[in-house]
Amino acid sequence: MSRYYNMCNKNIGRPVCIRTKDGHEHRGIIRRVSTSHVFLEPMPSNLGGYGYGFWGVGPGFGWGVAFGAIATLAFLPFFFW
Amino acid sequence: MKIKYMDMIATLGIGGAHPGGLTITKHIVENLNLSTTAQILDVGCGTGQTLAFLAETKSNPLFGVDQHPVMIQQAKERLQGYHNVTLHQANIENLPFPKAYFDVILSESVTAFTSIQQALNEYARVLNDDGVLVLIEMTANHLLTEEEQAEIEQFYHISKLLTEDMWCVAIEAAGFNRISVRTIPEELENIVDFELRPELEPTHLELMATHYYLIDKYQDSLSARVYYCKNK
Repeated sequence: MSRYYNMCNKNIGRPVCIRTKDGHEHRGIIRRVSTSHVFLEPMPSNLGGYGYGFWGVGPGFGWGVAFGAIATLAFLPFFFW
Repeated sequence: MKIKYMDMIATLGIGGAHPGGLTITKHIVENLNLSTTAQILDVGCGTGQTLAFLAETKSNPLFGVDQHPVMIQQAKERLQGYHNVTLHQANIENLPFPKAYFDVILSESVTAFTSIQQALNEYARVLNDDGVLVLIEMTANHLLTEEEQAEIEQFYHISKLLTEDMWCVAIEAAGFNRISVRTIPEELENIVDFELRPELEPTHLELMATHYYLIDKYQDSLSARVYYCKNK
């Protein structure tokens, strides 16, 4: 089991920035994990709407990143008002 | 019912839902130099994290008020067994206490979400003449465009986003004439001392995503201030 599995499973609901080995950056809220993937809820984009690259996903339609593809994973600093 | 930001906080059981978390609360309480008999009110006490900290370290009479039924229920569960704590589900603009009842009032990222002037007037009513009011509140670092203000006000359901000067004017209008303002160090602002529950619904995750997007987008425009207010 990938070490990222536990890291993500314990932090569902937190904003995260994942860099994959192909050089892409994925920012989103951790929605759920499977044994092989972490699924992210996209942040709204600055351009309005929820565009995410070529996926074009909307709210509620997260995308999965394979643990094996992850180069780095960082939890993004944030707070609640 | 449409789930709002505050409902998300309540559902997730987030304890220290204010910038600086419990760390800034401890810092503030240490600097207040409290007498052991001072009556303390935590308005918008949420799930009672601050009251629990006070109850563990102080024998003072402690009071908490929150209007959110889920939050006040969680506070009651957390604080059962502490005999010096009294909790009420009530509206902050209409507090269920007599005039001059308290020596200290804490508002930790609460007043910004209310009818601000009404709430401040109400704090002034229930606080005694020597009392101190401490507010930790969302503050605009500069005037934002109307669009930017609307985006923030609509998501967080706040009636009016205030700058530091605007806060001070409102606080003075409530009768406090000594105000000292502090910023929260950035390393404290980003402290997140809570456990997110795993049973999140898609709506909560969408709210989290928008919340993160907004704090990131407005990180240079919005910050928390601590307002220490006395009336003499």
